[in-house]
Amino acid sequence: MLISGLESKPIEGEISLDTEQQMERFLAGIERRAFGIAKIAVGNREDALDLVQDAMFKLVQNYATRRPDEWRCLFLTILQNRIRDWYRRNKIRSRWRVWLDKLGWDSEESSNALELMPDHEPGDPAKLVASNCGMEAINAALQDLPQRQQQVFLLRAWEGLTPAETAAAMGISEGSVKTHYFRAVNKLKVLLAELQHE
Amino acid sequence: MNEKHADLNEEKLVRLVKTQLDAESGNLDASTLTRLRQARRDAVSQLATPASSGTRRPFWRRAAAATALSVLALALMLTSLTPPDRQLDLIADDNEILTDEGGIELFAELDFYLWLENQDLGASDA
Repeated sequence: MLISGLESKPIEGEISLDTEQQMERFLAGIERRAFGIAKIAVGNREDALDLVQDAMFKLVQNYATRRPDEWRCLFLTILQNRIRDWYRRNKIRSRWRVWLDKLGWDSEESSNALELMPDHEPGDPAKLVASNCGMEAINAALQDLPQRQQQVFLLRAWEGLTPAETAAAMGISEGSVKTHYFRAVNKLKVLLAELQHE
Repeated sequence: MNEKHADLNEEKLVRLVKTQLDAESGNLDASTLTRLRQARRDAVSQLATPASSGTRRPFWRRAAAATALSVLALALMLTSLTPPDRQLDLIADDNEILTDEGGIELFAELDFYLWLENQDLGASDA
């Protein structure tokens, strides 16, 4: 399977013990941020863990023989593909699960969700800021972004990818990356204005 | 001036978000960390199995395939112990039993009738 922006094919070769150790170290170093990116994207822990696990497996299966300095971009590309697939499958279902996850309910209880759901709106970022829940405010603001703006922002600002690397990971042009990033920053400025001035 | 202020705001915003996200990822609960660690180890464990033309099948699939082949070989071997022509004879015998005019009772009591016949022959010889 060719990943957009990465044209060369995997080189077949033996997997050495050194490769195993390098892969172990690489995944250990990126798994937490990958989980963070996935959780902000899909809004719940279980799906985020599934996406990260899937991306790990695909990286090892298909790209372990590539140079280690390529693994980061490859892994993030795979993760983005999985997130995109998840969105396509769960466009409607996800809205309820995000709600339930915010309320701290397990997915097994979702069948009773409609009956038990309170009447008030989900957390408003500005209100969460006012109550000094910084992390919750940032999470809410990030989840409030359109999916592409959200992921571009996370890959650029948190993961530190260049515009070219971000474009390759998301299968879009560099120009689109810059546009999405600009819009995400402007929207976050508005949503998090209170936190910035502290 | 406004542009510089805007850039600083953006820089400050990015730094703020990055700091918070780093803090959150550094404080994941034990259950999540365990799941991540297990996923990582399961993924890396695929590298421990030698590759075969770029693909690896799980161990249980190879074992199941080997078992199925062994069973098939055994079945063929057992089947081959009975000569083919004898197999046809056995089938023919069954058909004869089922279609005989004397009915299946004759064959169920065959030993008795054979004994009776021997008695008759013995009586005639006497």
